[in-house]
Amino acid sequence: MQGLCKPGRNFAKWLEWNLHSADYAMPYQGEAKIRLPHRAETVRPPGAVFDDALIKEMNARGMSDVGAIDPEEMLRRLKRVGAFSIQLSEQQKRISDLVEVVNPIPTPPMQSIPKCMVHEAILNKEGISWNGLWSFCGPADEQWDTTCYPAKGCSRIHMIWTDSPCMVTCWNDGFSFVKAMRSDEIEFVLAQHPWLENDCYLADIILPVQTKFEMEDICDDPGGGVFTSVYHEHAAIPPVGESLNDFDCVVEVAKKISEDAYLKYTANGRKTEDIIDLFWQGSGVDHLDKEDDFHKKDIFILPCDPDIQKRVPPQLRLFAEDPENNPLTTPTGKLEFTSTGIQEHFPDDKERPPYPMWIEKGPCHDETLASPRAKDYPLLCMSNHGRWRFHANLDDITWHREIETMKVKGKDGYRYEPAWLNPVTAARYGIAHGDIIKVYNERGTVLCGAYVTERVVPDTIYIDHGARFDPIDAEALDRGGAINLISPHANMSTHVTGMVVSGYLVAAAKVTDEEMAAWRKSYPDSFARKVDEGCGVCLEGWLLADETAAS
Amino acid sequence: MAKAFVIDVALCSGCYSCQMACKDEHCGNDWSPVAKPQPDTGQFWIKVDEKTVGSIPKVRVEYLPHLCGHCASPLCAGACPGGAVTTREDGFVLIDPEACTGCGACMDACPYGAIFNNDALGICQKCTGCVHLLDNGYPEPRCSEVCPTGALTFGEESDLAELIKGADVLVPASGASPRVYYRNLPGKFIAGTVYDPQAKEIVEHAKALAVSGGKIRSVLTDDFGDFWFDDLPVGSYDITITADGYAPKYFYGVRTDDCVNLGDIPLDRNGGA
Repeated sequence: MQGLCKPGRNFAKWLEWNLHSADYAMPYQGEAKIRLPHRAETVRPPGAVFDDALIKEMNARGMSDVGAIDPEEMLRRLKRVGAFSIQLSEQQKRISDLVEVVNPIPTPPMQSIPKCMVHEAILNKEGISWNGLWSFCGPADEQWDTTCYPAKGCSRIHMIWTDSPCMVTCWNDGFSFVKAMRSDEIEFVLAQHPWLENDCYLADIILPVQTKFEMEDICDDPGGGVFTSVYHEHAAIPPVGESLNDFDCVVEVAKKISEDAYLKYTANGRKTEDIIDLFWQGSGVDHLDKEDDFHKKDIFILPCDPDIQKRVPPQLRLFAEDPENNPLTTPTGKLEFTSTGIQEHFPDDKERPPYPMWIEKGPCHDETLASPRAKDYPLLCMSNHGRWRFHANLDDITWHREIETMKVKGKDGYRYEPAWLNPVTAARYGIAHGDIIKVYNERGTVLCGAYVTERVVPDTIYIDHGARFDPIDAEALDRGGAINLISPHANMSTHVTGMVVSGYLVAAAKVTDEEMAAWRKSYPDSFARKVDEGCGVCLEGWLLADETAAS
Repeated sequence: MAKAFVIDVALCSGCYSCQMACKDEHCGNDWSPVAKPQPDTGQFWIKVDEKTVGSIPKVRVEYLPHLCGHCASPLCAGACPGGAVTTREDGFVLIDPEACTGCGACMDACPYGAIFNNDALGICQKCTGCVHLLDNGYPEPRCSEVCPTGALTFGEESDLAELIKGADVLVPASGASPRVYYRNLPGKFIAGTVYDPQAKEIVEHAKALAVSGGKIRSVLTDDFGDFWFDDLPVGSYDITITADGYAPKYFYGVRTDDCVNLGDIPLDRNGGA
């Protein structure tokens, strides 16, 4: 640690840089930051564009529904919901247009629920409360405040409008989420998605959405660790079927609601090209594009500043050189091995103490092999990001699915999600390589294909998250191998939100012919759905009939 | 002048890019007269095989990309009853999709499993070396082009002489003389961990000897108490482990048909406990 921040002691960096740093990765320009709403965003993030000038303009127009906005208060609240502020300086002459197009939500939502607690919020009739975090990565002090659902003066959730959801296969306790979506609490679910998969099965109406390849948009790459750029994306292919981009899906809904809603959402019916151009003007970097590359080449790569190291010291360098006068943002201003904040606020949290240490179990979690639960569920399920997918994306790529570590073809011809088992463990449970197995715990059962290998230690079973949900019984039994359906429900600790789905207890057993036959008999519809030889779960499996052809 | 591939498996990280790029080039694309479209799945004109060797915790994964050898003496050509398999001047062996009847004789003759049957088209298919690209000025096939680690090298066989020196071919006994050469094909390993059960500590710098056919190899255990005899030929080995203050340990006739993990090896202290 003595070398921290000193010359030659460099930091690791990673692709999701912009989640964790206000500055770009590299090369750092030091002059401006891109703040770009995407046309494909269904809802403008609160404060997607925000500065004093904008607030004044919004106040002048009476856009806020809670009276005049105090910029300081606005900034504080926006930061709480993961938004950010910008300086529009160069853009101020166009502020009027920008306000109309960007149409920022004047106030953050009155209530919001951490994603990992959505099912708990819906299913718990008593109401729930929690401590931070508002977003996936937030400042530590968000934990000191307690938030409730329903918030004071607010209603419970009646309707869900969800955009490309994958809660069942990527988040915690997926079967619980299925129950929440199907509960009497939720009267209506609207989903937008390019593919009929995962949570879409739980929706009442599904709006087919275009992929990136079918639509025109503006995009930026601020966090990829490469040259920061803004680009104009054109459609590579015409839209497939009746799909619309996310923005136009919302436009169609707005039209149904009222003329006023339509005009408000579309900034008085502006055309795509106008909106993209205005977004470019509002990007905060257009003044750097001296050659007009954005319009001529459809991409503007931000110039590097060769003198940046003279102007801006490397991260934490000032702290390294003079820590007393350049304190960190920690409560003590120093590197904290023990979090003084957690120590002060939650001195009795045995599960998430102020310094990292091994915790056998706690009030929220009991998921180790030492647990009494291990008698019934004797395997530790390790779950990572899949090698052949990106979360729930790309589980249907035919060229991936024929690679032996991507899917295991069962004797019924179905390609099951692989479950890696050490030969010693497999032998103990009478499981052979390629067998169809059931992986289960109190939360439900997921079918997988046994992949017996020395690459995992005994007493573990390794199954990546993100396989597409293929429900046999939507609340209890899945054929697709979406292992997060049975991942733990609880937050990281009673004092902080966050899911814990990388290791938990399960049992595994070979699925016998009799058992499979019984399921086929009990759930004939589930097994009658068409499964594509190449890509697996597919649209045709869910369509009752082609009504357009019939009419 | 013939073209050749050199595959250095020590550089292969098992990314499968070659396999993906090949499919991108040939699936659904008709490159007649060189080749008809490859079906979306089921054929692998270049394929990455992965093999797990050893046992926990001494485990390694070996990747082996393999494709048609474009052999100097192609057994497939000799087996084809209709003369559909021909060798170009640049050494590429092609199956003429018009002349092929899909009888499968070439598939049976190929020692490398590199030929596939296309039921829908009634023909046999395999790697073409992307000659449809090479003939139009492209410098190399898609597979070697995308290889990010330089494990796949393509070029004139004479230009690659340095790389080919000492390289192996798969199934040399076939006599087909393939022009796909492999560098650093791994041998077998014998490994283990040496520890002192009384001290409950691993033993560093213990000496391990492996003797086979009068040849002796010697290694020391590392900071984890591990020793590794790497790249051994298949055979029978007598292993001796010695360390100052401990009685030696012997393992006789350890076979290396597969890689061997001798596991955790306790050493007893000299003179008893």
